[in-house]
Amino acid sequence: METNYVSKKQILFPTIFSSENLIVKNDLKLNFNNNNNIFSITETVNQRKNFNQNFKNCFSLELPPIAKFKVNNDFLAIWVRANSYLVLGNNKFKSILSKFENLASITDQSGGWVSLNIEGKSTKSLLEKLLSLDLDSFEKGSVSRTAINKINCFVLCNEKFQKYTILCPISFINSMKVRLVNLANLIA
Amino acid sequence: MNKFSRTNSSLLETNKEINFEFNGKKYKGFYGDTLASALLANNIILIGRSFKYHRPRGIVSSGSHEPNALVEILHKDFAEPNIKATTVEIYDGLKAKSQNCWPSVKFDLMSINDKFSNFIGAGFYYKTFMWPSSFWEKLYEPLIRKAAGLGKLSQSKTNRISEKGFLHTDLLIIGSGPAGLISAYIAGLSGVRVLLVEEDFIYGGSLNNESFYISDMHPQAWVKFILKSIKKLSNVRIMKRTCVFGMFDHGTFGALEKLKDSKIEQMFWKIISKKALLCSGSLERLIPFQNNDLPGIMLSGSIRSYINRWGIKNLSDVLLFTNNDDAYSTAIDLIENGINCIGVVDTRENPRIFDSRIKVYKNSQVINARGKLYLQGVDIINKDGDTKHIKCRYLGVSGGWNPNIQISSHTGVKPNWNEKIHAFVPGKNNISTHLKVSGSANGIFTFNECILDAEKNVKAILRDFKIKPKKYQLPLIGKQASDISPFWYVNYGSKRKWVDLQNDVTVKDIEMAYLENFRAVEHLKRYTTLGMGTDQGKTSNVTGLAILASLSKKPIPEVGTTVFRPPYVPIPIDSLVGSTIGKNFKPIRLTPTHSWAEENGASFTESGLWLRAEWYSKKNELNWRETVDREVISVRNSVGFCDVSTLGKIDIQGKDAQEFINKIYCNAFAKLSVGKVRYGLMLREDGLVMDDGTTARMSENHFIMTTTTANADSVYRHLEFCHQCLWPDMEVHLISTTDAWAQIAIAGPNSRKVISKIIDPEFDISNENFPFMACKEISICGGVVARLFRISFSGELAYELSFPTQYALSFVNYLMEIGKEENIIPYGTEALGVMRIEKGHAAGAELNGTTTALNLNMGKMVSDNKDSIGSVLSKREGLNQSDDLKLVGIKPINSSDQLISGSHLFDLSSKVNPQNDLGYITSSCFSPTLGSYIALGFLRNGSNRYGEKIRVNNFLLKKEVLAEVCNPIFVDPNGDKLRE
Repeated sequence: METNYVSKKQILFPTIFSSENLIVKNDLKLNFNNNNNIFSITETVNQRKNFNQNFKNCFSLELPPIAKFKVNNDFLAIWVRANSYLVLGNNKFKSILSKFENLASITDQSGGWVSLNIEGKSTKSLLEKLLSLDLDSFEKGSVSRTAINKINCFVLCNEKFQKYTILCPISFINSMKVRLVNLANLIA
Repeated sequence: MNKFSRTNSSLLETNKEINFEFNGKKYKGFYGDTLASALLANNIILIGRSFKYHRPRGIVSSGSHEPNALVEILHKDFAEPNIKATTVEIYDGLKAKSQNCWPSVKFDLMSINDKFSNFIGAGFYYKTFMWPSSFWEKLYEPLIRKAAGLGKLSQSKTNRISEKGFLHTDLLIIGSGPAGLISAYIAGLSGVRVLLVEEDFIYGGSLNNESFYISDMHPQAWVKFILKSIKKLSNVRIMKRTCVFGMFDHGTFGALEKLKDSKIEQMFWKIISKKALLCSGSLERLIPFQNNDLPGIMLSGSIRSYINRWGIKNLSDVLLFTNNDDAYSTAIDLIENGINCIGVVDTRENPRIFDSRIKVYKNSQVINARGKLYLQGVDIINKDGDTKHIKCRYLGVSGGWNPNIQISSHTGVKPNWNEKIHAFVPGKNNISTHLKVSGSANGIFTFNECILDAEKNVKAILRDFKIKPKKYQLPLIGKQASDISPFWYVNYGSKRKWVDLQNDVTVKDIEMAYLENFRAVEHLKRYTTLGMGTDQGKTSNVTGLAILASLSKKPIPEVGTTVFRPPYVPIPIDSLVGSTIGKNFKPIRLTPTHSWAEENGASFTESGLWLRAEWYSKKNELNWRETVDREVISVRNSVGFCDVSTLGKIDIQGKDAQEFINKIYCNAFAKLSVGKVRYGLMLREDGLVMDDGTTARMSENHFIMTTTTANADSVYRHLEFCHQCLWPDMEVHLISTTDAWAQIAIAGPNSRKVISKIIDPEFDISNENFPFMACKEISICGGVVARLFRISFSGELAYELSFPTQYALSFVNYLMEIGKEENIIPYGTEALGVMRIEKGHAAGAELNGTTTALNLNMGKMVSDNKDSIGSVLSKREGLNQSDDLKLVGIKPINSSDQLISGSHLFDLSSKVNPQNDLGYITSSCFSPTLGSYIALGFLRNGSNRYGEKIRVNNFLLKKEVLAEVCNPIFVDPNGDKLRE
């Protein structure tokens, strides 16, 4: 989250989970982190062309099509709904805001989400027991809004059957962790 | 027992011996045995006692249609009743016992019931236990309950690990017999995504029980051969020990997988499939005759299974009784394996000669079985009426084959009667477009025809998928016979002839039901309990229907069938629950300061999915009241803080945001300025109050709406509905930010002092520059972005500070430190509740879905100058009566008298009855500020009754209190504290 410290002493410290490992086994790894800045960016009506261009300039990414995400080293952009995207990155909020001006509404959601990363050979076996998605059709680069144990979340396919990311609201993270860890311990 | 007691042709791994226990005695079996086959191999044929009459019962079948051999499996931590011995895969250490008998299965005291069978036939409880009526509850019902039931629940908690999951496929194939295997092969080869599931613990279906050759291979070898090809196809997934127990709408199936060598013991799968093939085979049926329930009387096809699949050699002196050709396959296999086959009693006049070694009693019937605990012989009769006694130890009965069609009827499709095979087949005319049926489940009983039928259906599915089939070769064999002549029961003799073995239903019971006019098939089922056991009548239903048809003098199709419903086999309830039990039943939401609250003595309460701190006890406090009183007094006297992050926060942006909000709330928002917050009342379409909250205008086109915790989701959905459906042209962007922002309420006369120490110096929050109902984007603690709202729920000078969630723990520690001088304390929802009642603020108890703005004394808030959701219907006559309920305050005359929520209000002189009911209490508490119990409630014409004395009556607790009606705002009615 953005701070303006310059010559001020830092008083508040964010609680950050940075690639904290939950499970590390031969065929399954599970870690989570919340150290990304996350913004909702919703396009203003009738600004598509300019919005598009601006988006590309800001994030060096094309706008993700429906139910897809785009990623590079600095940013991850997720299609959320018509004309609305969720962008994760390490950039400062105010500077993003200023770049979009009247082209979009920006909402800071940085504190609200945790990323859980799953990878390994047993990933498919794990996700079959969690998700109602058709994993065979859930290709690399796809994102879906779904629920795990009644927790609404986003699931992203980074590598089919091998690597996935779950974006979970932070208030649910304890329940999500318990569920994932318990299940991972049963299958891996 | 050793491997030499089995034939060589079995599918057992005779080098892997298994030790198990039955009824406390130790036995041995082999890997691949079921409990039933292992018991048979150990010469155990008496397995249990029947449901009602406690008659001795043995193994009848070799599969999940078993009606008799029900046992209790003794797991480590619980006992599981009503398990069919024919489906239990034995393992080292297995412990099983007979059920429904005491003290032992050989000598069961309750077999005395059989002596009274004339009095306790089907439906006896409708005709007896009537007098005296007082005896019913005290004596009859407890006695019947004790005596009735099949199996006992262990009452202990199971630690069995169950999970749930989802599988998607293009083609689901149910059953791995010949039709299933060839379908999987053809479809898989052609590139279709296939899921092949098999209920048994080995693949092959009926082929595991046969001995005819396929493409010069033993059938079991052919199964291995085709499986090898299937396993090479990466688009085919095969699962054994997986029973599809139900077909539901839209191509959804439920399946239960039992896992071996896994921490997860059972998986409940929801399978979503574009198409499905039912290849579930067929089930043999019995022929009722006198005493046909003795241990040793089995299905003929099952005897064949025990010989061929499990290599049981110790069956001796086997007689067969049949009306069709299939029993002769059993006879041949008996002879080939050196087991004495006495002969075949055939009801038909001229059955085909299959093998000259088989002695055939043509045109004959078995009329009676003899024996006590097991079969010792039968009596037969021929067409001339000559009877003969034949000594035998086993009798294999084959009354024909029923295609296993249950699953095809689960979505309500009635089956059709097939006169050629004298059985029901799937009702193809109405069957779901998702499902096709192949093989003997489709009424086809020869191998070649099964294969061809399967091929036809798979090709049709491939056409639907627009896929061209790849080349393949079909395995075909020589011609097989399958003739049948209908024969439903032996109409000879007065002794009982058993139709439904599990529920002890006889031919006589069906006749009696018919006589008593229970002639519709659904009535027959329920009156006699025919087909209502755990086997769901798989071996008895059709026979029962045929008997009813003959009594009614109607053809069987006219009699009809009862409805097949899921599950196809009994499913343990813990499998449906999976891991969602106890603490895992639902997810929990934790507030951003939860861990801090835990460390600081908070007790928690559930608020929907949230856990919220209710109060923060100190060590010297004796009870919660002491704690809450302290918290309230501390806030009213100095300052306290409460985590209110659970309130819904909705970010609303866009050029039409203000207009949108103005349409959502019933009160005016059109002129809300930047930097101001306003209380908002939201109505439903019908004019009743839905929710309340505040909306702050942070900038020209940026608003933050708060909602109650309970309605956060529903309000958001409501906003989305309004935007997408009612006003789609409005440019409004809605984002829920409840999780992203922590929100802390800081309340009390010293709250400004504390806040001033937190916010960065460039922000001025003096009363002049930051008055009541102001809001601002600020920063705190050296640059952390935040939002400050001057709003109060407690009635004190108060603020709500909002900042990114990840700073919450750090902030609350800092706040306690920085607020030491003012003796800042944390307070929980209970103190919050007390203070809002003292202040007369409506909350969930008052916004209870039945109240209007008028009831809440907020009628004037509903603006007449604009259109908004609910404003029109809020003006209905019925919602605007002069003596309507109005929100009032209530104080007991004696301040220590407790007022209880839910109590009803009455005049002093009126009788306490519904007609005189004047209203009710919604919220109540002890007010430490006032030193008295107080309450809020709704009272008829309440605003005009301040000062009146009323009676507060609680029917449940039988308590009545005298009280006085007053202004609901008990503390600071003028709002001076809010504005100081």
